Amino acid sequence: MSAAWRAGCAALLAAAAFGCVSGADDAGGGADGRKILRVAYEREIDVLNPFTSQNLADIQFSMAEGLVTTDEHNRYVPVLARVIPTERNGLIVRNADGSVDMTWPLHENVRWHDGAPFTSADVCFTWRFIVSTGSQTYNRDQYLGIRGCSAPDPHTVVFHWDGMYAYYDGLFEAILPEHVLGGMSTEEIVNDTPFNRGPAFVGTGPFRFAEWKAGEYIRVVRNDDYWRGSAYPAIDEIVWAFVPDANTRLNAMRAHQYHFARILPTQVAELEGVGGYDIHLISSNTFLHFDLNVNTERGRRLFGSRDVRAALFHAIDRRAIADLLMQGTVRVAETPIHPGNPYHYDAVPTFDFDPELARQMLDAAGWTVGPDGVRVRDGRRFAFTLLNRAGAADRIAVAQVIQAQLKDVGVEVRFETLESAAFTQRWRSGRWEAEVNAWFLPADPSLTGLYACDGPNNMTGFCDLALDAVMKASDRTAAFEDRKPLLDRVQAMLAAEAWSLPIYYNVVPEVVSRRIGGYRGSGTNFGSFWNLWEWTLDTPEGARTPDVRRALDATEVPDASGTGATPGAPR
Amino acid sequence: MIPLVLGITIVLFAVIQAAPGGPEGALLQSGRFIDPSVIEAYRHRLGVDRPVPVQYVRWLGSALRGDLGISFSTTRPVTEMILERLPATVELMGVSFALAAVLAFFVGILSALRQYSVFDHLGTGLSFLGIAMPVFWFALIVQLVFAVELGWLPVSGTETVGATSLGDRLLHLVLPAVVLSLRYVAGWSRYLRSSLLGSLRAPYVRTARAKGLDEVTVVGVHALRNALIPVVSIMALDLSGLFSGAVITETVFAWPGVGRLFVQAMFARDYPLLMGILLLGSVMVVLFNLVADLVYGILDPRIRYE
Amino acid sequence: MSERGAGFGARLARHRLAVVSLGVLIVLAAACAAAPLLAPYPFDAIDLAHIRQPPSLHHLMGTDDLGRDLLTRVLYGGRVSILIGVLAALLGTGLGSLVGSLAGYFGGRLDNALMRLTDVAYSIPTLPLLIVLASYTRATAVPMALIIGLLSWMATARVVRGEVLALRETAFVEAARGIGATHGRIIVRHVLPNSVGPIVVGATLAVGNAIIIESSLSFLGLGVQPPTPTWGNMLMDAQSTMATKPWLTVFPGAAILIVVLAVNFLGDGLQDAMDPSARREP
Repeated sequence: MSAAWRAGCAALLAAAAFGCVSGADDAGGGADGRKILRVAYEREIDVLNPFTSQNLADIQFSMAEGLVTTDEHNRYVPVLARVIPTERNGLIVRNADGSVDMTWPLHENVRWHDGAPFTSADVCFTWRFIVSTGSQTYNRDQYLGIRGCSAPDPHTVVFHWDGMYAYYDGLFEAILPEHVLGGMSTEEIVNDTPFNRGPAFVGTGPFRFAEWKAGEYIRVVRNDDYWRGSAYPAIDEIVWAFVPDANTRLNAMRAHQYHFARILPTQVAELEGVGGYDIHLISSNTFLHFDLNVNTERGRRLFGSRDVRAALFHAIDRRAIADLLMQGTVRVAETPIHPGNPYHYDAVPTFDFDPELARQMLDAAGWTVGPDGVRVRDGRRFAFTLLNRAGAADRIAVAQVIQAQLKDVGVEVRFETLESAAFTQRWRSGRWEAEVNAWFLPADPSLTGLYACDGPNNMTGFCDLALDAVMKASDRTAAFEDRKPLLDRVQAMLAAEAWSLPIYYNVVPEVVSRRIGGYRGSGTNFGSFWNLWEWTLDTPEGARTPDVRRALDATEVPDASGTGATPGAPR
Repeated sequence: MIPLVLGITIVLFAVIQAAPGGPEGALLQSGRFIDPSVIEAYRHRLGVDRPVPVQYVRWLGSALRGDLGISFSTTRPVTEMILERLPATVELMGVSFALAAVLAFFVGILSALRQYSVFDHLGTGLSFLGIAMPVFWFALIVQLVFAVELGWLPVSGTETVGATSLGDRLLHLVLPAVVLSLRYVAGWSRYLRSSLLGSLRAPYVRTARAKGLDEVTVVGVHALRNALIPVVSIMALDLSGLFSGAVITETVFAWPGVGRLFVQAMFARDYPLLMGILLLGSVMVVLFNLVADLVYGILDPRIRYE
Repeated sequence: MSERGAGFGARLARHRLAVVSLGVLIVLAAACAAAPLLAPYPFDAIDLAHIRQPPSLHHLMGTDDLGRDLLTRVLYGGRVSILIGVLAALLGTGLGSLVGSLAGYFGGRLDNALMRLTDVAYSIPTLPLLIVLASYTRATAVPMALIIGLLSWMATARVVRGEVLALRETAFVEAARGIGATHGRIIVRHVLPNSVGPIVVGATLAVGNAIIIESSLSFLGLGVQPPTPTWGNMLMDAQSTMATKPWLTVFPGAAILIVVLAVNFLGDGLQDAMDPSARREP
């Protein structure tokens, strides 16, 4: 080899020796001992403004705070508000004309990242923005019940509602700065790049915006004037790296390149034996379900009868799906409302796996098995098409299991797989026969949007006016004692109707480095970073802080050697 | 030239719009309930509720003024979005291309000169491996072996944020560049080998040898010159596929290039961004084809163009 | 002709690697075609109790993420993958040769027009256009093969045109024109056979390329969809478990590797056997 060649090799090796193996876990901090938390995030967000963003995300909430947030028990906790108004504490007052006045007292020593004081004027400004036309806020209609906002003093804000709504305490998850955006029209705010993407974005949160390198990462740095005290936050910087490919994320965690990442349930077993992490199976408020649709003529013919639907559901072995296919990482679902939610109702009619019963019920309904193994009635075969979204691997896997299990009882299922946007368009048109899909439910357990006759997300064509009435009544009830029996009835009626079969509650496995302290994993849309302000990061030089708490429904999955994951079936 | 590019844009616009679904699909993907009025307002704001020809004319009008429009998914100017991804793309492609060219020439020429030798078979075998392995499989294997198991190289990204340096950036480049270049090396060295073999047997080569010219001149000047013609055309092609060809590599190594941006834009039906990237790609292709034509002229004096 | 034919056969036989490859391809293609006869299990036999099992006596290649026998899936998958490869290559190479030889031979305005067409087709990078097209084609084998083939003719066209351009000026073509042969005859009998080398190389690479492209589309979540197996989508499904359950990726990956390698070695041998220099003599 020539001298130049050898020199080149030597140089490369030297660079490798110096530069490599600087995995986040080994060199947790920057060169000067700064505590830098590295997160492998599964998608790049669109804008920083939490209200116009089409994907609510943890990144925005590390910088922007609102009146409330939710903890790992799905309970609302006040953030910028000092207390959450209730009738009991007198902050909610019902007026004679049916309207409701709601007073939110605010913390007093809060400053925006640019030093300006946070006041009630900011809250009213935020409301005005949300309800204005064109604000693009995804749950804008929930704010429409607020008819007026007044700020009697800089630290008190009063909302004038036209009635009582159950979800009032889940609104205003962020506040916008009036002193920055106040002079702009709604359209201007929505399109304002310096605020949406960059240096002009300010919040009141523990971290403030530092840098956004498109396609790569967002960097936030410590807010030295954070209102909770100079001790917080304990972390100097967070790098939210964008690693959308699930497999790359997994490999990055294996190589200890990040402190935190979310992976897929079927990847949990892959991290067995990898030291330095705990895996938390966070119950997300997402549940997978098998839906039938009666909008089409064939759909009506096949699925019009409740007994036939029930028969199909009895043919599906959900326990095998949860325990075997998903390797025990998920829990079978009987109702859309998650067990971690206080409104969850257990005593609904269930569809246990019983293929013999399914066959009997189908026989009784006049569907007899034909020569090719598929049931026939009036000369027509029991065959339908299941619509899949390309790329949704978990749902397609479940769909294949359902296909096989229904074949076993004489029902033929064909697949039609459409690319993502094409699928969405077809789904919204209602022209499909069956699907395996997932809903993400916010903390508020209202199901009206999904199952009401005129529910904006009810594409199945099913309609039950009695059920509608109960659902809408529950939406107008705020007090838990009054709402619970109503929602119990809703869940029981839904199950009895057998329109849609809940399959399992999804989990989002979060891989958390053992150097992190204060993590309290949560499956709400505020996510597991809801309490970032109190997180700590142990860098190799410092002492360990063993303060690791877990979410109620999260399962820590230790194995014998005390590291990594062994999937267990949470119950 | 202008009518050509115009025609291209019309075809592209139609093809993209013909895909079912629209930008509102991105809103609904998360499974959250979105108010239908919000969706309608969104569609109206983006202008996708207008007829396709109208949308095209609006796009064309602003494109001619140098404004490629506003991206649906991020409400940022398309030009800005593409420009900020360009450095990473160019970096990766440039390094891969150079690496591939050097290796391909080396392997291709030696294989042809030492036909049927051990080196030829080895070179042939290795370059075939480059074409025969699915890119993502190969990328995942090297990622697993070198980044995860051995820990010699980083798994993904362009740099270690907060602790970056030239050496750090180079290390991040190694795996993606090697994966990308391997495919090119395979194709180019194969073409060069077969092409060179062909021209080495041509009568003019025999003539040159008979004239007493030394082997280096015969091979390097005469045979190689003719052999390069088909190879150059392939290289120009591959270069012009610069933007999008690296999608898989960019995905596996989380490299923030234009290719990945295109895929995301397609899933989101972000028409302005798609058109912007495709337009840029078209310009690149036309440019590189011109370059290839020029090089033809240099290499083969018998071929002349007006 | 017979003399040349005999020479061709002998030259091909000398290229041992090509002969072996041909044999391998025939065996593999036959095995895949006979999948319903050979496969030990039905290809959709889901068995949730035996997910991701390593190779054993019951399952020679192990089982996949739904408990299906991998050997069965590899055999059935081969039918789809090989079909896509061959169909796409035929379409692409045929179209490309036609366009390229016409453009190179006639030159002038026809050349310009055809090359403009090629330029337009090139202007859209392949994978992105495939992604766009895959969203409205049905995700089954033949449509996939068609769109892959439709986007692969340009390379062949350019290369063939280059070859033909160079050949157009050679002595024997001029001689043929001198004795009054028609253009068509010249193209078919003199020009094309001499460009067969690059065409064959192009075609074999195209088969391999098409199979690889299908796997790339599968990686992006497009391509042929489950439950229909292809080697590409089997590889994609198993990527998370590569480190711990290597058989799930090794078998379909090796299948792709072997077929594409074999096809390339064969093309190599064919090209050497055709040996254009034998034809360059007037």
